Amino acid sequence: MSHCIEWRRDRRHIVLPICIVRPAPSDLTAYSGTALLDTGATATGITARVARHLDLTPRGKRLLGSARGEEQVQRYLFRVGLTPDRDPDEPPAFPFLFEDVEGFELRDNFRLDVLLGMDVLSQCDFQMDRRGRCRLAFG
Amino acid sequence: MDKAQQEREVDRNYDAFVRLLGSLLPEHRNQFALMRDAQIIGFFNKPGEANRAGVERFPDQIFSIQEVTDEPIDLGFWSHVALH
Repeated sequence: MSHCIEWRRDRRHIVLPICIVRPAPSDLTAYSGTALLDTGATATGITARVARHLDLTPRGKRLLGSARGEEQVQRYLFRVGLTPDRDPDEPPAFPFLFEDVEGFELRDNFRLDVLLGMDVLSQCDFQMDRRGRCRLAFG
Repeated sequence: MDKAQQEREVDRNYDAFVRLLGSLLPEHRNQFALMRDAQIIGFFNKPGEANRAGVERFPDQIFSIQEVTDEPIDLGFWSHVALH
């Protein structure tokens, strides 16, 4: 069954509400926050405060490339949850949870909570028009 | 779980993984290696599969997972928010 979210982006960025959930087979402890959609990012990242809130365990390392060269970053396993749109008379929907991703840690000076990269976006159909309307279909 | 012990395990496994990476790429590129005590326990197609196997096999939860790839993460414009 496919789900979707429709929203309107701001002038400069594409942001949407998101929840981050501990990896399976753990509990469903979640952090609700805001994500920046970034088709230029190959992987999804969460800020250190999200990792602390969920008490995530560092599970590995990987190189991250930048203009300053390459550095190692911590990696965590977690699940990304998106709450699909619903009719007003329908009961509240549970978030749709993607499979575990091995994301990385962002510094807390990132003003949002999550950088949603191509590892998750490639599992979705994304549309945006010149009027700022966005649509993300998944599941 | 002892978090300091887990961080040491991640570091130790990563050092071993980097030394092995060249020999792993031909057969296991883009798979996920479950590691313990600087040894590879197995390869999995998805990170969640490797994590579940680690949780089941190691009751102390001390293990790490490394993606078999030689490509660094690319964040484009946002790379500065991931670097310390």
